[in-house]
Amino acid sequence: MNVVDKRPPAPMHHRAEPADRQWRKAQRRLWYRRPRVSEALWGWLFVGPMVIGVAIFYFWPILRSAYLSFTASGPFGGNKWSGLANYRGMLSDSEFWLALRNSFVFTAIVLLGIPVAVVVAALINRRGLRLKGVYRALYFLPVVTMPTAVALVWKAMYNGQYGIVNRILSAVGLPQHNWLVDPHYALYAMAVVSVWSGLGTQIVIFSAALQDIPPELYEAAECDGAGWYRQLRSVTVPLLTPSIFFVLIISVIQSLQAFDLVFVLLGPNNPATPQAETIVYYFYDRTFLQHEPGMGSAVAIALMLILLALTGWQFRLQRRWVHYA
Amino acid sequence: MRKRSRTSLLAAAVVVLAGGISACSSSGGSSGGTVNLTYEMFAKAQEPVVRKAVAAFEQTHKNIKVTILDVPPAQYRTKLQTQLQGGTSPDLYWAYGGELPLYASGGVAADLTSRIAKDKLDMSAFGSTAVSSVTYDGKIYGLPHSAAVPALWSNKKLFDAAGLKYPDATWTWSDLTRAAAKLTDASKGQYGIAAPMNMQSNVYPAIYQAGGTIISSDGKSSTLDSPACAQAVGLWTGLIKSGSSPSLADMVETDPNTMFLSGKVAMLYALNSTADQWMAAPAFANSVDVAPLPAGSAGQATTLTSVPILMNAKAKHQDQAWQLMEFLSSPQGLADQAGQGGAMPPTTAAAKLWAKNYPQFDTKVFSDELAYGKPYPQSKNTAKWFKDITTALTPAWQLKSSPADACSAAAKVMTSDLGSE
Repeated sequence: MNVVDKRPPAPMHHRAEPADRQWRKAQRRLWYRRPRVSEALWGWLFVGPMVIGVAIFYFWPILRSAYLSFTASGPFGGNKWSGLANYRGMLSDSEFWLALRNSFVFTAIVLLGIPVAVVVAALINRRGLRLKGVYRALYFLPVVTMPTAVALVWKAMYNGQYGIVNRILSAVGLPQHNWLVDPHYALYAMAVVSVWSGLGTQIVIFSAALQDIPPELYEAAECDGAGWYRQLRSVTVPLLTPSIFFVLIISVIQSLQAFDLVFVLLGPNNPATPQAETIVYYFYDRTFLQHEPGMGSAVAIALMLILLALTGWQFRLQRRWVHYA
Repeated sequence: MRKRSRTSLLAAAVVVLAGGISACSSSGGSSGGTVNLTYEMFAKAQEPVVRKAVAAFEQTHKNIKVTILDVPPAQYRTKLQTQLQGGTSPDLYWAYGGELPLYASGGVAADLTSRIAKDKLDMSAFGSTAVSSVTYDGKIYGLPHSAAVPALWSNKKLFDAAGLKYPDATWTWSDLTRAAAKLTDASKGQYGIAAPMNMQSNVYPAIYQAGGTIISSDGKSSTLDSPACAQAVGLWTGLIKSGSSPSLADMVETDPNTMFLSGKVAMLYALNSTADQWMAAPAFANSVDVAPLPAGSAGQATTLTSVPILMNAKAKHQDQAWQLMEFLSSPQGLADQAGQGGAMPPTTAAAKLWAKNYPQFDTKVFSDELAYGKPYPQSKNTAKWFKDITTALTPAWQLKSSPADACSAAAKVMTSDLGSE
């Protein structure tokens, strides 16, 4: 029976290379090996369609709009450099400021929908709630409905003569209005539709986050005598802040870009439109209806800068209130 | 081996991508002696008419194939503008009323003057108003394809119930307002007339009837700051004030045509093309009557809006495109178009044929209007001041401002817009 050989291994015949030199050699070998280059190529090939798509459909239009915003361009091209004339024209147009103000008011109202979504999400995710699936489906329905169809149904509901909104108001003895034609109410009426149709997505996001909150936290809170509201305030909301932050960023961007609601609910022939139009509708009107693409591009660039600044600002502020568990 | 297969895959990918790009840019050419033309239009209802006319053209011109692009009206302007800016534009296209100068001044419409002279095309058949609307800077840029003229439509049942005589060619503004008041029954939610802020059908014709104009003859300033405009605006806003018409808000929410169809309003100023809308409800069509627009202090007048066909200045096969244009506007082409109903052809002869599609209505009204209709006002950027005067006149329709004040506000903003064209 052989005894296990416990001697140290025999020295190698050639002198061992220092480790660092071995490493460098291996590196060099890898570097010179063709597959590495082609790996990079393959990588590009895979991300290529996305990169090309983003470049063609996002970056090129941004550059092009930036260029157009400095030109006095006609509806069919023929761009002449005009410096800052479009920006000066835009800033001195009272309609621009009104549209910008409208967009901010609209966004502020839409943001009021976030707390509503948090509360609804918390309610339909309570343990032991029956028909959970039904509630979720109901709240999610607006998300899978065509925005134009949603807008048309709301248009009918808001109708001053036949609309259900006025019927209900008259039943409870409140004053009635032509909600979408009266310049005083049109903007708010549109914001309500936007809140309603945005609720579904927000609830889904909050529901997912709620399911990640460990039940022990609620049990501990209950032991400490916290009621439903206290649990919501001290456990649910703090742990939801990352999702709330996400929803906030998305909502601000979407609301400041609101166009389809104005287009379908109001439209160009509505006397309330000039008073209730949003900034993107103003852009559309300038570019396509009034044939001033240069001015329209200036508006688009201004909106992009505003959105960049707002988003950056929100990212700075989030350090103070968002808890990453 | 492995390496090569990778390279060839890459090459294949490049070929596919490049192929895709070149395939995109090779449309609208000619192949094997056949010339392909594209013809872009915006009215779904008229598509069968156009398709039939084009088929007749293709019968006699075997080497020309025509593709019709029917774009929904709401997207038409935006789409055409983008197409004309890029390289994929149609050879022939329609222009909305008032927009021919935009295309002509933008260099995207071909000057047809010499072709018309060479072929000795008789433009007088279209009438001087239509010819003036296809002329820009002394040159002709389009051939009229259809004519839109408003008339006074009325619901005979409601007239019978009120014991009133139907409107006729002798009516004046005072006949109109008197009848409107008698036909109004607040308890039934019934109004005598709809007084919407519709420039083409209501406002411009009334300004013409009061002896005014909208734009100066040199096209450089507005003429809305006039007693005629105040009278015209006063006519319509007066009807709202007295309760003979629904409020502006109600008419924005519910289209006046719909109100007329449902018997909620007894009278309506609407275009000839709405005839099809009434015909779609046969029982209703039998109780509809049509008359010329009532005369104002300066007599009878109306607007005549021409929808012209334009040729793309960058079209590859302009000779063939011109052949198609000429065919569509020839007496035979217009007669074919007339036989189908839909948009009314722009010549008196063809308009009379068109009227035969609507035996219920006295559609002679419309062919007569071709003779005395005044042009739909236009300039280089009509859309801009059109929006601005609409906004300026709105307070009058909301009964918040006097007609004269609204007219002078509209004139001011319009003149300023015209100055910056």
